[in-house]
Amino acid sequence: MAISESIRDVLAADATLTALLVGGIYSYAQTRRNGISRVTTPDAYEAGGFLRACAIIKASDAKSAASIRDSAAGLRQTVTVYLYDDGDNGYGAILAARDRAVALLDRVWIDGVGYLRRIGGADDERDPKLNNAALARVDFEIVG
Amino acid sequence: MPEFEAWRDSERARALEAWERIREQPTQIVIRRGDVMLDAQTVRIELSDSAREDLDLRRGLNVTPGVQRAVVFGVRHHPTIADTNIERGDRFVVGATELEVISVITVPGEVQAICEART
Repeated sequence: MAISESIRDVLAADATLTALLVGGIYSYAQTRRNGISRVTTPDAYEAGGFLRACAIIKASDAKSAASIRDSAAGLRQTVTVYLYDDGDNGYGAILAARDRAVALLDRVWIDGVGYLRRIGGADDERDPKLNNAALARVDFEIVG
Repeated sequence: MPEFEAWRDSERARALEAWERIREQPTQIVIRRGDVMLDAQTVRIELSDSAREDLDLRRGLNVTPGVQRAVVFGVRHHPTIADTNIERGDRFVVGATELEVISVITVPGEVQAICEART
C-alpha cells in the first residue's frame, strides 16, 4: 500500500476528523490525473455543487538519511496533507481539521509507513484552480 | 446619425426579445454570493467553443481543471420578469462545471455576464 493511502486510512478512521472533513479524505492517487473535481470526487462537493471541506494526502520528496530501520541507507520522506474548503467558507473547518490531523500523526509510528513528525505547513493559502478555494497544508516527515 | 433616443427608448422591446432568446435555451442557476445563496433564476448560457487545461504548476499542484469562457444572458427592465441578479464574483454550478462571473455588461433590456467556467 502506498504511503499516502496508509496515512489516509489512519485519518479516515478518526470520527472527529471525518466530521470536520465532510467532503472526504483522499490519497493523491485517488484524485486521478486531473485532481479533485465534480467528476472524480463527487463526494467532495455539496448538493449545490460547491466544494466541501476535504483533504488530499500526497507523498513527495524522499532523501537519503539515517533512519530507524537502516542507519546507513535509510530514507526520509515528506508527506503533505492538503486541506481544502470552498473559498467562501473560510478557514475555520480546515484549520480545526489541520489541528486534528497533527494530533493524529505528529510523533506517531504507523505500521508500513514509519515514524512521522510535523515539520511545517502553511495557513491562509488559496488554490486559484479551484476558484480560490481556501487551502491550508501541513507537512510531515517520515523516518522509516 | 444613429437615433440614440429611439434606441434607448426601445428597452422594453429589447427586454422582451432578450427573454425570448433565453426561453429558447433556458438554464436555471442558483448563484452563490459569498455566504448567501440567491433564489433560482432562469438565464441563457453560451459557452465558448474553445477550451484549455490550466496546467500552470505555479497556480496549484493538485488540480488541473478545464477552463472555458461563457456568457450568461439575463434580462433588465422586462415588463413582467424580474431583473437578473448577477454581479462580478458571483458563482454558480451547472452540471460538473463551476462558473464565476468576471465581468458584467448591461445593455438595454439585457444583462450579459462574462464568466470563467471550470470543470
